[in-house]
Amino acid sequence: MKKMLFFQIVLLFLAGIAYGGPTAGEILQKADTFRGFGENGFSFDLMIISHRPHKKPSKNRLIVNVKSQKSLVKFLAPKRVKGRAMLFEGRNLWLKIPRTRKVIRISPAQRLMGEASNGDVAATNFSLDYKPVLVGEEEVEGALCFHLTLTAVDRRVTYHKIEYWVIKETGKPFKSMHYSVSEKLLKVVYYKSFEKLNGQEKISRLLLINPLVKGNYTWMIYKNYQREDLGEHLFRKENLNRL
Amino acid sequence: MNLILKIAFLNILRNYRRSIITVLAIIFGCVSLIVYGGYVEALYEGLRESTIRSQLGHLQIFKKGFNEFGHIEPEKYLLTNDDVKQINDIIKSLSDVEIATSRLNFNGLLSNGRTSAAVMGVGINAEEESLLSSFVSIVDGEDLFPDEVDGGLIGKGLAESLDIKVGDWVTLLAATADGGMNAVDILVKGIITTISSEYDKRLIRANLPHIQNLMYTDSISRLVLLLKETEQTEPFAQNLVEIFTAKNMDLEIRTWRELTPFYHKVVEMFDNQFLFIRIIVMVIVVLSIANTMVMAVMERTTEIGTIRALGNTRREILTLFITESIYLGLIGGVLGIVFGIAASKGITAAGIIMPPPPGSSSGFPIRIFVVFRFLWQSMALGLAAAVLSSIYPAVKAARLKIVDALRFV
Repeated sequence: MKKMLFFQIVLLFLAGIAYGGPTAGEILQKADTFRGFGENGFSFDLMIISHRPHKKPSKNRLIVNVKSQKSLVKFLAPKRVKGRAMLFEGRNLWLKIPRTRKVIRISPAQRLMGEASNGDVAATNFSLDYKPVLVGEEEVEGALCFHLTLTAVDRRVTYHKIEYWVIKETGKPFKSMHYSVSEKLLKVVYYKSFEKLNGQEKISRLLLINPLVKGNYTWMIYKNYQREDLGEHLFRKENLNRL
Repeated sequence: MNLILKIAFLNILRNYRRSIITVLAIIFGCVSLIVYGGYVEALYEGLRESTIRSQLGHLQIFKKGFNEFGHIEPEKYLLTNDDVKQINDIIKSLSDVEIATSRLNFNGLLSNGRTSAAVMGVGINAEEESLLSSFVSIVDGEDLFPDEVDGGLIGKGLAESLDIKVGDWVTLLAATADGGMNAVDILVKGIITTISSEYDKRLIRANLPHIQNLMYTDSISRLVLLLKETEQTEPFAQNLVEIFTAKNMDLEIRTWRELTPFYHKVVEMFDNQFLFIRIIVMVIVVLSIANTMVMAVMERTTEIGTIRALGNTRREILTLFITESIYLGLIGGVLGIVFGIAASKGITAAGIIMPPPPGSSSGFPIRIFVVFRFLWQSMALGLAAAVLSSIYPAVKAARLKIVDALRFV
């Protein structure tokens, strides 16, 4: 009789421990599912509207092809940038401009400035490049979120630390703040809206804010998500030359 | 009076050993000051002209506000085509200008296809700049020509870090005048060095039209003027500022002095050193002359006694000795100038090469200028030293009682 009671108490105890809520890793992985199709190839159209202080906003249209952790970006508009291509391959960013012979490599440090920094944010797979730690639950701008702190796994990742808020109820990313090694805030991102595609919800509008320059912010609008079976050879630097 | 002059002169010849020592001391002082002063003057001139002729020109004209705000918002502070036309019209009417040439500065990345390096470059008018860049050396390949539209010259450090050789194609990525990005190809025509190896690590020079193409603009950053004579710089700049203000033009001018803080620091440092050395030399010269003089008077005490006994006054004794030292001072001074000039020309002619100064990659030959003010200053110093140091012993000697003087041993 006493043995039975003992067992019951132990079981209850174990059951209590087992149910503790999602781990940091699980939250992160779920949030990442809203940003692509994972291992399979896919593509989408992207419209980037950049606002700068005292200047007219500039609008760029691109086509983005993604496979594994690589993305190939081709510019469609405006006329000045048409034909340009960028390849995000691992830690490298390669840029090819029409009528030039050499591909230009842009290092992670050089990427911190300008529009390339936005591409960097949008392309990053957080699960792979960062280690997550669950800080707790917080209410941020009216939404109840899980707050994660992400630390870069190695020095070649562009942003050393990211503070990430994911909506508790749906698992969707809400806000992220990107920091350099010296703890300087370089980017604030809001994941504004999502669209259903093939039964899955994917991010459709991002707002990226440059905290260092007042009035400098960018909208990235995703459309036309499609699964694509793209060859690996397309995602190599050598291929950029042939585009 | 005449007699004293003659006797003083004969005394010098009589005491030839003491005279020679005194004169040598004066010569030494003069030659040191003349040679060192001339050396420093040549260094200043070399630094000045190399600074002016490799980069700065004598003065530069910018859009007003460029120097204060240009690095933040470069596209707002460029000189447009119209600005340049207006300025050129004004300059044509002034005769002191040798060249007025346009430059467009840019920052960017230079890629060899495998990696890229940050560069600071300038788009230039190749023909005009060849007169201005006489201190930029081409170490490989050839100079830039305007008909090779996409040609470029790369700094040595930059070529080494990207492993580029003459004849290679590289791609230059830069910020455009309106804040976007663009890239063009550059054909490496030559590898260059300047006086600063740090500068060479990021330096690229290309043809102006090609760079204007790259940056989607036909404006320029600055107009660089080379005058016929460096001394004309200040008056010319002032004149130009007056003209610009009168015509209400939105421009600013910087002379080469204002553009190079380095030159001033070097001059200041050398001026301090020169002063220090000068003081040491003067002290040595004065001491040695004084020593000789004191000894001379002491040894001639009996002679002084004799002269006094013959009826000459104290004043006449004083005059005699001071006259002797004036002679010595003059002879020493003149010989000092002669030898000083000879030493200066001789060292310059020898063509001794100095090792490269810090931050530079090439040595230079020693030159010693003959500077008029050092010539008369050192002569004056020698003379003054000789005369002043003879006063005290002469006065002492003259005050002695005749009896004591005659018996002095």
